[in-house]
Amino acid sequence: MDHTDDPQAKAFYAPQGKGGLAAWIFSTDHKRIGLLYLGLILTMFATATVLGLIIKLKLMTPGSTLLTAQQYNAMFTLHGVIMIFLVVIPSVPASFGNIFLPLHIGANDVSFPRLNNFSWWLYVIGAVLAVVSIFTGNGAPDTGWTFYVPFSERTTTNVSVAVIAVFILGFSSILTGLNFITTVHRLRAPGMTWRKLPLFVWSLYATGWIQVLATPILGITALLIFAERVLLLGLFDPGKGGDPLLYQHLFWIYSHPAVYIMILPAMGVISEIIPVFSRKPIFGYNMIAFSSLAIAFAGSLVWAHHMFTSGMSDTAVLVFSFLTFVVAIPSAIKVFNWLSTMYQGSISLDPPLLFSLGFIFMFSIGGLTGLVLGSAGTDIHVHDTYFVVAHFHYVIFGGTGLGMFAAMHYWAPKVFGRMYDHGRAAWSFWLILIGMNVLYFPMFIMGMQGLPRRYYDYLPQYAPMQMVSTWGSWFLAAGLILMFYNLYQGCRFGPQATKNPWGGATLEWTLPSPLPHEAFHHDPEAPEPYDYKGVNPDG
Amino acid sequence: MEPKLVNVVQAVDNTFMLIFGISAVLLLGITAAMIWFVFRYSRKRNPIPATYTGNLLAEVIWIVVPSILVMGMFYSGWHSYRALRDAPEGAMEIKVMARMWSWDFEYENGKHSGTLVVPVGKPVKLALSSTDVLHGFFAPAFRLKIDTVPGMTTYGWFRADKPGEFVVFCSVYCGLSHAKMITAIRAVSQEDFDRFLAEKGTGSKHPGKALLDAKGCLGCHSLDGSAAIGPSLKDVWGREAVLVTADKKEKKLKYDAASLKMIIMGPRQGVVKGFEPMMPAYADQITADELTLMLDFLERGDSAADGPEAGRAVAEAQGCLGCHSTDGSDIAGPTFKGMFRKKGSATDGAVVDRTYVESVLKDPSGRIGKPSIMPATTGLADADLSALLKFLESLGTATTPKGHDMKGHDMTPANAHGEQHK
Repeated sequence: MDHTDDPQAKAFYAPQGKGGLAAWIFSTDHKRIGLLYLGLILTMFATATVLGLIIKLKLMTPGSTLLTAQQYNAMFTLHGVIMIFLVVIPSVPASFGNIFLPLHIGANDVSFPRLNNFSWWLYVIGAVLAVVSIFTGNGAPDTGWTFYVPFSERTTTNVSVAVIAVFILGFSSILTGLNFITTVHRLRAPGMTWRKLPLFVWSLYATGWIQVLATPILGITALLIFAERVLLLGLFDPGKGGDPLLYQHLFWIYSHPAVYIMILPAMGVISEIIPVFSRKPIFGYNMIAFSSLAIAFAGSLVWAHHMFTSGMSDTAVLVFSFLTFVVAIPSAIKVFNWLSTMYQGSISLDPPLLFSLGFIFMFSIGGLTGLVLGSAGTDIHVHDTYFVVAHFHYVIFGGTGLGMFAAMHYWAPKVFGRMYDHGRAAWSFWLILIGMNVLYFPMFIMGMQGLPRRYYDYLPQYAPMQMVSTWGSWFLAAGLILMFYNLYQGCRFGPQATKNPWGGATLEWTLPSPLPHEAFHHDPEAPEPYDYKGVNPDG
Repeated sequence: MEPKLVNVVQAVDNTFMLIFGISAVLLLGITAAMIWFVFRYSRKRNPIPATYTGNLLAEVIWIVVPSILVMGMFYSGWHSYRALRDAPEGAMEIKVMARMWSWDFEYENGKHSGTLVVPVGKPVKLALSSTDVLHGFFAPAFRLKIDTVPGMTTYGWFRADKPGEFVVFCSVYCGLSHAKMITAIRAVSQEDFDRFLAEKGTGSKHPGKALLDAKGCLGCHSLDGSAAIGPSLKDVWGREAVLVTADKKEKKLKYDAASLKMIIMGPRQGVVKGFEPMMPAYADQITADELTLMLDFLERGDSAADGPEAGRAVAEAQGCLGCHSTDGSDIAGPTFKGMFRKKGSATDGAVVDRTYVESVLKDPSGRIGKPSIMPATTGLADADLSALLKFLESLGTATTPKGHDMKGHDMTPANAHGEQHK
């Protein structure tokens, strides 16, 4: 049997030596670990999406239907916890970051491959604990993903296990960030100067610093809740002499930067895709790389804009409102630079670009509505309403989500060596885009009309908008099913993909498709990552 | 600045308009540019791309211009925030206490109520706190929202410029019945407000009467037999009337519990002859417990004030009924129905009696012997306490203590729910 002609046989995922499960779950190969993450992240995404669909189905009509209030409260808590900690935070960096960060800088692996595998195991343990917390103890946590005290101290649901899961997941994230920072510093190929780094690497580098610096605070906060619940220490619960606002500060010192952990890597993906499909150098490389660092830095100083109504001092509101508007500027710069990259380019509207343009549209809506939340006077009215739910889903699902889908369409042929159907991908894109807007836009209106979030039931005046929003969730679900089916079908049975189907200039496109076990046999020469002269799409 | 001239709602709405206006222009510009570029610079129309890598002037412009725009938004937002925060001198102060899952408003003369009644045109300063977990006082009509934090007092203010009823939500997630923690601000004329303040609280008068007033019934229905927009409520119980149905048929009607419930809560079968169909629907605004009280008053008048139903008003005003039902269903705490003589939640196995209830009210966690979500009830007048106990007793005593064990009931949402399914 000779498989040498079959490129799939040489792929990194093909069995080599001792095969089987152990060759995957104990693998130190960054590509295999990236795929392991991808598989789990998508499984978790499917789970939490189903929860979201059930929530929307319940909310389609007012009154007590489908779920009890307790089930509903547990369901939106789990939707949030799973989506945030198990899907969105690891999404792009843990999967595509793991696979392509080393390749982008001409390295054969990350700095600490065994630590990388350990991070994945921490993720698995965290995920298992999160699932355990649902089915054991006095029932699934019902606190919302924010675990606000004193409620989270007093409810008898299984909050203690859930915060331990968050603690462990935090470590998975910290170690991945640490690994990426070290890799970028130590393993760049000769000639790969900082200004030759692809912008995807810059965004992961900035993300890595937030992960390393901010996530430990979440870990400590989760432990403090555990200590207060189990050891009955008085830290946050005023009944025990604690301060509930202290908890909110600690929580958001992590959880606001976490939003940038979620969005920066997706921005990195968009910065890769737009120049490739415009065949024009990225506009303002320095400014995009710098704005990633600026967002990472300034984004660490705005956490208390989640607390304008909390009872903290008006001076704090003044300062945090000001800083929030400052951090809006680097995001705006990125959008303008992406548009300018397209200007006078030579644009091919392939699926990855389609999803990227969807990202820009959705992220713009999410970002601009964020200005309403940053402005102190208007935030008071829309804080804790559906307006916030809409804003968040536009940024995170419309932004990070579409960024992740763009990455899947961009790199699938490289990772699996096969091409999916472009027409079907476009159909799924439009279904998803329309579904998202029908689902989330009415939430802006309901929020302006004062509907608070996390409401099991609502006044009849909100019924028409809730109904429309629920219809949107069905479009979205249909689009997602079509997209995943198309990708699965393409990666398993699609036509053989060429080495460089899109005409990218970064190093991964010099490697065979699918990716081989060992990427570089000797140090590659560092290319200009956005110079397309002489680099053409195959075929 | 003359404080009366500050229109807070207008200030906040101006900021909304400013931000939405600029955002709409930017979004349209970005989207239009994106679509135009995809069309104009498609690979077919523009096979040879430009090769430049940036333009310093352009980048400076789109750093400077957005910076100026967002600073303008910041200033406008801060300006309207100040308007929301700075209560005018001499504003009437009302204390707000939030609890799972209802509101208590205390006026300057010590009167309490469950809906917030305020005089039109007069600034009202709220001093808010909470007995248990975080809640949020949210009155969308006044753009006012402020969290209530246990152990801490927060402030907010508003002024109702026209009479009416305005919804108040709880904005911070607070557990099982968060979505039901809704009340209203009722803005009335100064005379009506003074009358409201002068009315004594629960205890001496029948609580059902206070409710008829609080829900606005007495605006259209007199209690002294005089003609008004709606039929008078004087001696209404047992009286006969004629109901005109939607298809113009006439039907005899006798006022009793069932027919009054049909009229108040709906679905209404018609209109009483001689009156216009003007009465709003109350199904969302009156709870079953409140209806019971109102009907009790209509049936028996003030003489019933000393009966067990007076205690129901105390339970309602203290927020007990948010967690303890009277119909046998478990909410967050054990139901009041047939509670007496059951074994209590206490770790020492005590049976529920007057002493037990009193000690649990004073210090729930201490008496029960483990942490409980139930807040301590303080400042309950002796008369109210005895009315409350009478009410609990009137709901019946457990005949078979076996199998009706409340032990292990932690008085928390999840547990209550868990037991429901056993």
